[in-house]
Amino acid sequence: MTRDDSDIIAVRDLPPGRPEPTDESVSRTWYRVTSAQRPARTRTPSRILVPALAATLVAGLVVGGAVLFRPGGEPLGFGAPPSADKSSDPNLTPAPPETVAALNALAAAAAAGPPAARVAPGRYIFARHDGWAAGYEMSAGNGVQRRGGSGAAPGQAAVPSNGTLERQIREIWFDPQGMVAVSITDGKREMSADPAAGRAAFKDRGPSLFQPTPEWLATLPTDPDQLRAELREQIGEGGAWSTDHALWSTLQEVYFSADLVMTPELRAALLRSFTGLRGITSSEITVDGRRLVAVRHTERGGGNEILFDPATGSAVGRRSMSLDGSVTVSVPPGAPKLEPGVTYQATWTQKVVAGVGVR
Amino acid sequence: MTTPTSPVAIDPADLAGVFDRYARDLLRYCTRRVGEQVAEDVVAETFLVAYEQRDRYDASRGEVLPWLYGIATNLLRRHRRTEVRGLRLLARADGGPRAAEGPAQRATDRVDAERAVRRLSAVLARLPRRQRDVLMLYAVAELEYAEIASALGIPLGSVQSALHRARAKVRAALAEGDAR
Repeated sequence: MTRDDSDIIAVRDLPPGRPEPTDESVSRTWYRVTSAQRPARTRTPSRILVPALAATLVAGLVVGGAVLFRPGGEPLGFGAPPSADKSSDPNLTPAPPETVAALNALAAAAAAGPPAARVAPGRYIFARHDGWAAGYEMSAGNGVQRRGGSGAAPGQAAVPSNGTLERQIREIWFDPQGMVAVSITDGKREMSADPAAGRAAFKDRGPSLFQPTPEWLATLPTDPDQLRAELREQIGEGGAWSTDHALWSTLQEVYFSADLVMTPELRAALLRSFTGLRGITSSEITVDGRRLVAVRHTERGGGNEILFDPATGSAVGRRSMSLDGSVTVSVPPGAPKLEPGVTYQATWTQKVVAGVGVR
Repeated sequence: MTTPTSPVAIDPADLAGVFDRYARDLLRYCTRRVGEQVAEDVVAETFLVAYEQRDRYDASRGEVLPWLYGIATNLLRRHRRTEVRGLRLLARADGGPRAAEGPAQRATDRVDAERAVRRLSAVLARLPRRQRDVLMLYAVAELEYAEIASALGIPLGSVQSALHRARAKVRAALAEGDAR
């Protein structure tokens, strides 16, 4: 009596034509495992929600009494909520044909790119961010110059007009459940991180574009139109900046922590979905001798870029610039000469590690 | 078993590691019994139960996979109606939409195969629960007798007798078609 007997084979093959479990089925099952016993997700006003990561980085950017800002009043690296005033019209320009072509080419590369990394419980995503940022010494009191020259009133964002380029290294260990930054260093010493706040927010609200998990990302639609609609729905409307600007800022954060856990299908779908965003353009740039494709969202005289590797379609960095000539950046000896108006430029690497502090 | 287990020590507390190693096996087994959607729920719950009960896992009694199959089989009992309903639907099915007819022999073979599926499904739907569990663990999960006994918490002799009876009924149903 063996398993090759016809009766056993007949039982094994019933129902006929039943395929093997698919990767999607396995992913859905894992998502069910990890989402079990989690309270149902409630949608929150996304513009108000400050990602835990942004909060931790803002804290991390306080250096010796000085705060590093980028033009537009947003902390370097990650966007703070814009002011409540809607001071200018949103950029509603559709992506030009050359940008659509560039995004489709990136999507084709992404579809054949690396598979999603699996992050086992107890492991972390380690992101090392290496670049240059225009630093501004600013006090929280009077005398701070705002764009337009008036002093900053309490609660208003202070915007500098001159800065000096500084090397900026950030090492961040993310808990993949909510992409909560549990530790931040500047490459040498520990900086402020507040994982408890991030975890509390995640526990309260569950996974979302603001606090994604690998499992949640795996559930996103891979039809570009559906995906774009879902992303805009996550962002919501009614803030001071356009929906697509807010979405782009959020995606910069998502890519920074989560690119390596995206499936090739999702990476490709995201890139294709960007062809329908407003205010998007692209260009080829070279960073440290490496050719990259910069995809930019422009609004209010500023550009925010996500840098993609054309070979893999993966996001590998980001760049910000002032486009209206209102900011002057000094370049100290040893610093690279960035393009005019660039106030921030960095590339990153990501990998799954066994613990905090492991590189 | 589809997945070799003996060369690697698996710690039940390593939920992701256990999932990585065994999820497909369990999904295959459960999907064949209750369909993909319910199977995903059952398998997810299987891993959660296993994790919660990891302290009860006794490595000296066998590998992790039979233990997981045991949990899954217990959970599948909640879905007995779904399983039996699916089998009865198969037993009544007419084979679905016809593809373009090929040569006569091929069409005849296909009709015979459809009849065999209907008879087999009808038999499985009528099997007592334990016989069906044992048969499916043997045929689909490809567990050994001792592993089935461990998974279901029943004596080895009960496994052998249940399997013998279930197979006798399956063979009779299949032979009924051959005799026509």
